[in-house]
Amino acid sequence: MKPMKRAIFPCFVGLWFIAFACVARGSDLVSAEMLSDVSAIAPGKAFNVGVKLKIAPGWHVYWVNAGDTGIPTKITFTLPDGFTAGAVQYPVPQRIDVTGGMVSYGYSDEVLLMATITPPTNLKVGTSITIGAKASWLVCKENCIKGDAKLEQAFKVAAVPLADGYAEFAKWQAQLPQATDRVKQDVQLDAAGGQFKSASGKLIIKWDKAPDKVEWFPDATDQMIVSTNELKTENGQSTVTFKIDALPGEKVSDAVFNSVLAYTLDGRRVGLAVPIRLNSSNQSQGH
Amino acid sequence: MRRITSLVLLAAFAVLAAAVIAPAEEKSSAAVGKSAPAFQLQDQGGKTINLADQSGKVVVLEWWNNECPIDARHYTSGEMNKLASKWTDKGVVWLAINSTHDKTNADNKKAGDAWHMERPILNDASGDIGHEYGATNTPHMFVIDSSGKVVYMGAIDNNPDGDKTSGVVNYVDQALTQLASGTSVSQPQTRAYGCSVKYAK
Repeated sequence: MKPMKRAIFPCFVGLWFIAFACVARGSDLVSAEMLSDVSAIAPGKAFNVGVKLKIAPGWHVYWVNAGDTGIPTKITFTLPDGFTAGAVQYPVPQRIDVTGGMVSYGYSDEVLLMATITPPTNLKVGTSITIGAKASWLVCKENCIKGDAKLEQAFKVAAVPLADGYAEFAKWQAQLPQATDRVKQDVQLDAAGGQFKSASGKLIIKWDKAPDKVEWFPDATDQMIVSTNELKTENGQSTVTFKIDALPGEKVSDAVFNSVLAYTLDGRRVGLAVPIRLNSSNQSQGH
Repeated sequence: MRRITSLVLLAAFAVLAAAVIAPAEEKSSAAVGKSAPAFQLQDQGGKTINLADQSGKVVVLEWWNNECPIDARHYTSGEMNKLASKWTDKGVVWLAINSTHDKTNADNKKAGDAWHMERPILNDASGDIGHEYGATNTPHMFVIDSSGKVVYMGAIDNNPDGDKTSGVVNYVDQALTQLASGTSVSQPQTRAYGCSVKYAK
């Protein structure tokens, strides 16, 4: 009885903006659940929390860079005083081809977005604390629907952490981009007058065994457009050639932006974290 | 008759030759500093609007889809209509364009009326003009100056999640303000955000 009431309510009250009050809500297509890899935390001992999104079949949400269209899925954690959180980590995304020749980056089915939390060392054993998470997403199929969730989880403070839910985190950690020194990068800058305007770059990775489905996902900043000119795999190596254009009027302040080189080997999808360096010292690095 | 046939043949040959000779071009031809691609499209009342007829005026193009929650956010807040009237009152031409593949003039009229839009909503259900401009998102904004050049293309603002409480820059308002004061547009291109334009192909 209760759920039915909830479904009717927004349509009835929202008559004046009926056009979008009576369509499915983003929260109906995506369910959000907060998870952690401990049930008790300990002073100074880092642990992981995350928000797992389960997405209705055929729909998708977006990576940290949505690509040509979309809005990145965002998670923000609310922490008690003295706690610190690392950056939210996004598993290797999928390429989503959108009608009209556009390409988005995102996730279907389910995804866990996680962060490492470090409690203060002076935390009192025997107390308990609560961590909040706010998730927001745009979920799209043919149409798009905005959704969000506010979640929280309470933790007991013990002398040593009590692991719980480790397997789920291990599964998703295996899908995070891994640090690597296998990818060689060569970025040529056009920075006439000291102002970065454009760059052409190349990534090269040599394979012991050629993988399938090599893809490159640049996490361009709002100050630039990154376009992949070519991605080819032959003679035991893959080469990505790309171009970066600073948007006119924008000063590219970030000397580095992240990218992920993904591939499938023996049926397993792997992502390598490849930070692209936009400074003159890049040629000597990344070998 | 014979002359007509040969003319037709000649024309067909010219088209073929052009297709062969023309280098592979990118699909979109709108770019900052270049002339805005021409178009003629029908508004929600069936009236044809020709971009060429607007010469001498500043024109804003707003790629629009009433089924997109990002558009909806800018309309329920009243901000998009407020911004449009602020500038149309000053003589700016503001044209919404719907490239959603299955929408008719009647659909655009109904949705536009529900959102109190007192300006043309152009029907580009074929997607041709959307592709010509490289419109990828709704909203995706273009500002054309009085000489017909694109002076801004990109997002409506720097607030994709709609949760910024300070430091919000509306790029279209900024561009129009700078144009009106005779200065150049300081941020002529930004990354658009929103729903994908629902193209037919």
